[in-house]
Amino acid sequence: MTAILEARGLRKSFDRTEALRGVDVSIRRGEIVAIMGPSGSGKSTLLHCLAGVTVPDAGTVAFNGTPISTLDETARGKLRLTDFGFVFQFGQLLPELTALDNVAVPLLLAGERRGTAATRASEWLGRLGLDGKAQRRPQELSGGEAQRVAIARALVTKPAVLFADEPTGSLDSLAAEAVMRIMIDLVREAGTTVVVVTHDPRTAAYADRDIIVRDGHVSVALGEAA
Amino acid sequence: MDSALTLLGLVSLRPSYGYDLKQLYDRLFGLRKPLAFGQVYATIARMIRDGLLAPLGEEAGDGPDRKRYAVTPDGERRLAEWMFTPDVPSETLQNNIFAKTVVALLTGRDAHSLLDIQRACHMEQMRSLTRLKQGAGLMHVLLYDHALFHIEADLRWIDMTAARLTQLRDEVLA
Amino acid sequence: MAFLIRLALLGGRSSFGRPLGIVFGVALGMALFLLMLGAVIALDHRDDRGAWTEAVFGYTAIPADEVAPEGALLVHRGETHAAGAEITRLVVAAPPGAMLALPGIAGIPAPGSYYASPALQRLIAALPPDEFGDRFGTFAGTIGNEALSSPDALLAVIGGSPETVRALPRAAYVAMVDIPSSSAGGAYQIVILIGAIGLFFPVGLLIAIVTKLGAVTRIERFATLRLIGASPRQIAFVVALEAFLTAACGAVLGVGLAAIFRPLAARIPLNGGSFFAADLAVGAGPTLLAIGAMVVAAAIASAIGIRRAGISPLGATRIIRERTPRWWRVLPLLTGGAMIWYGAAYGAELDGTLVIGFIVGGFALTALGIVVVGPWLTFHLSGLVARRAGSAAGLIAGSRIRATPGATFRSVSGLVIAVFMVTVFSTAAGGVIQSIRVNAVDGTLPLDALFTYVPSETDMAAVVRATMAVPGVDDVIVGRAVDARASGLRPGSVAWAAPDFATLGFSTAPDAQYATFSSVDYLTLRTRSVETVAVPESAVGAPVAIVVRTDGTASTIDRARTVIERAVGFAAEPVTRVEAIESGVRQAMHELALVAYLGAFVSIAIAGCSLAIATASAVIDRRRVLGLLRLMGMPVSHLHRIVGFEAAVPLIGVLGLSIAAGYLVAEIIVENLAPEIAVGWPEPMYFVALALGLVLALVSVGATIGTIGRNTAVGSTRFE
Repeated sequence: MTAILEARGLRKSFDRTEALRGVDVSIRRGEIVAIMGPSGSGKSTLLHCLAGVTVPDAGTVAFNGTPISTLDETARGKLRLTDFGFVFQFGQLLPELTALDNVAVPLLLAGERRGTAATRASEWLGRLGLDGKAQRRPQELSGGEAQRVAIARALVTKPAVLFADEPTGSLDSLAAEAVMRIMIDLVREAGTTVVVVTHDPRTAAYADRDIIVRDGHVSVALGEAA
Repeated sequence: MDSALTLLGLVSLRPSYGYDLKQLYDRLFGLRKPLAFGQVYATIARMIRDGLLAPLGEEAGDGPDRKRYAVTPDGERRLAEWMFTPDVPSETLQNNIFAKTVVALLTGRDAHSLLDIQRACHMEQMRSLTRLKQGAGLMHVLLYDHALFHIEADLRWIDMTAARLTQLRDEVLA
Repeated sequence: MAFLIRLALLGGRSSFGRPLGIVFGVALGMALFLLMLGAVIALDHRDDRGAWTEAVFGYTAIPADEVAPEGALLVHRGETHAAGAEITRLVVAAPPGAMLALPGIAGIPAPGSYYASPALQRLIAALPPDEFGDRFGTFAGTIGNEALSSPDALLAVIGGSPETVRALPRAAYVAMVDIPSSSAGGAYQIVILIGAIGLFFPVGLLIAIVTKLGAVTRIERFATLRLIGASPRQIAFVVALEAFLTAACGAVLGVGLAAIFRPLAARIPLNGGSFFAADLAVGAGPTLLAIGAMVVAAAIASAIGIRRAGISPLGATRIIRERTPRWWRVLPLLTGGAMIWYGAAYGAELDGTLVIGFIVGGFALTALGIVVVGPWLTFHLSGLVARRAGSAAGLIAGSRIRATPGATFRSVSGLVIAVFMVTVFSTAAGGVIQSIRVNAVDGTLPLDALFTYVPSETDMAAVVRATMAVPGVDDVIVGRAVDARASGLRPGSVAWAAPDFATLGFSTAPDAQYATFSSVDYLTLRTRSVETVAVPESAVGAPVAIVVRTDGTASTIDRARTVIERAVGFAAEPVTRVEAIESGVRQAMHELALVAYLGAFVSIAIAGCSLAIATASAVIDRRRVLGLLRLMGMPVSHLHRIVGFEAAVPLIGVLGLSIAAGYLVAEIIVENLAPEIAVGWPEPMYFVALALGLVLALVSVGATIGTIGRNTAVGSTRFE
């Protein structure tokens, strides 16, 4: 199996705080990986580096063998738009847009026509069990429903990698479970690689393996044990 | 928890008299149930028989409380094996992990990786339970959930301990 | 309460910029308001001061052919022209026993000498004597400012002998000079008052928006106050107090600014002349009143602003779901229009103040109506954009505007109002200027010609000879008196020999040997021509008028004029057709338009500030979600486009409305104030002002767009 994402010697500091101090990570195609660790350990920073959101101070990130940390912001933005999908903890949906329009936004950004975008967006809402909620606005949805809309939006462009940052962080256990189950089913079906940052073991348990970040280091023993 | 291996670990800190061993053990682990002298000596005798411990020096012939004991190379191996083998998650597990951690700290071993290894084992267990859960009926889901929540509790304890290892070391070595 | 105030106001360093914005906006508005108020007051005041020169037309004047009253002066008021300017010429003679002294001069000038206003002295110095200065005689002294309405006043007081002055037409005895002023500045006063009121809109909007922005950035502080038990009313009070204090600083600063800029503002010509700087000074009473009004308006605007921000004890701005704008929002606009129309149409039957009330009130209501109807229009327009948009930026901006039409429109309302104002002014001005353009038309006096009546006892041959000698003069013809009784023609008609009609601007000569014009308007018609009417030879008398054709250059015309005036005396007032028609109207409208553009520029500047601040706040409000979109790979250029859309949609939508409303209002007002004038296309300057407004809007939005990059950059928010 080839690595779809490969990070070598990542270092990243914010002001005087070192968030990452030399991290190596390799993620295989189709793998679901959980990044865990105490808060402030640098797990979100690691996700941002892997996704080409932030550029590491040192080290490289390669996507499908191509280094992405050397690309400029425009090129990385394009990469994120076409090859990556993102789900966050909350507040990622545009409050003025309907669920359908929210899902359609990435397609429009990719140059899709309005009509086609709407059709595909509504397909994905259906897959996430949101039939009948297409015309609701985010504030008219429950937390779990809103997260499912966000997942639909992340997957509608058929990304190679889905990055999820605490996707269940603001949900109760039952809603969290429903969201994770449907997300895992869909990505397994599509063979999408998933990198999920979480501090919740029950969410991490949906992954194939986990990576522990502690004080800016990845626990070596585990990286190899897995 | 395995009190024999715990005692072995304490001896590995430095050759000790049985009496000192009991005192140290009680201070660290005897909060709820201190060891009886008889139990200490019986355990020592068993470990000498198994070649894990050996009496030290020429004071042979004195009573057991006049002897110092040291860990043999076999004993060291056994100790490492115990320490870095994760325990299968179970309800009575915690004391054992705690003992391992304390001993590791006392003897200058890598308590972090001990906890990491334990953690990985717990996570593996959770993953397999989660896989079983996918597609299971509600009855089974609830059963698996019960197990999952317990493992999660252990994991939380492991994480908390891992986060406070430095503090714990200071207290143990005091 | 003191504790609350301290907690609420003592922000960090970041809270400095916001009050500064208010101080700046209020100071600018206040300074402008005071200057405009000063102008309104000064227009009346200086008219009174300059009114004495019109004494010869007043009720204290007694025709010169009657018995001289005790101690009266003999005065003749006439006009002469030079270099396109009109000069008032008072010829005075002191008969024996004259007691009256004239204001501004030391004594009655001796025959052949003259007093001149400073502006006239400058004009005399600037032109060759044979073109201008020779008309007056010897310089006796300067007329003092206390007798002049404006530093630009062109006034000469010329001495003459009682006999010559008595012989001049329209000469009169004047025994006293307290003449009630004709309120010639009335139209100006209305316009300036409207402008001054209009000024409150952008300033108020600026304060409301800045307050809301301040509330958003201090949301946690206010939320904490709410949590520990402060009521929304108390919060509003604290914020209003803050605005009150900053606005007071701004207002006081504005008074200073007004004082500093007074000399500069005084140079703007209004109603025929600029001001003495002291004229624009506003007394302590009105100044305090204006400060009070401004500060109270600021406090109210900020209290409204903070209520809009909707602070709850739990911090986050409550998402205020704006109510869908309803159709009733068109009503104030229609009412305002109706009021103006009513005031204009039935003005003649109403009391003067009532008319002004209707027009000024209607104008204010129309301006308000545009602000009220804006969200409604914006809502419908954005709905269209959101449904039809093919791009993500269009969809996002359209939906956002549709959800918050009121807030979105507010960010451009200042510009929209400014455009409305400038459209009103410039349409009115442009219409007038167009309608008084003077063209050469068959059957009217040619543009290069001078015309004047002369006394019948004049030695015409000498005058003609002297005039013909002026280089550049092509032809001099003489018109003769017509015996009205013998011919049955209108009294005062002038007969011209048939061959001279080519010189008079007619392409076809009349059939008779002598002919006159069918109308007295020969000199002042702009586009229509007059017919010729035959005059019986028996009815033709002595020469009474003269027409001089020149090469059309100003110096030839002025030189010819000097020669005629010297040869004929002060009875001659040679004018070109352009001078006869204009009589200050064109100048007046140019002045009005100039004021309008200045006012519009300031409104646009303040409105631009508002738009920039509002755009920035629209970004800050949504920085998390915009940041996440950017993280997902939406290019920054798309974010720029969203913000651009959000400014452009309401701007373009309502700009159309303001232009239309402004045009209509201008037409109604002009038709009321000056019914003889037709409203035409606005001046070119109008389009410059419009373009300037749009550029300013673009620049302010563009400047804000820079903040989008910063505010949505990864790390400015926690993306979890």
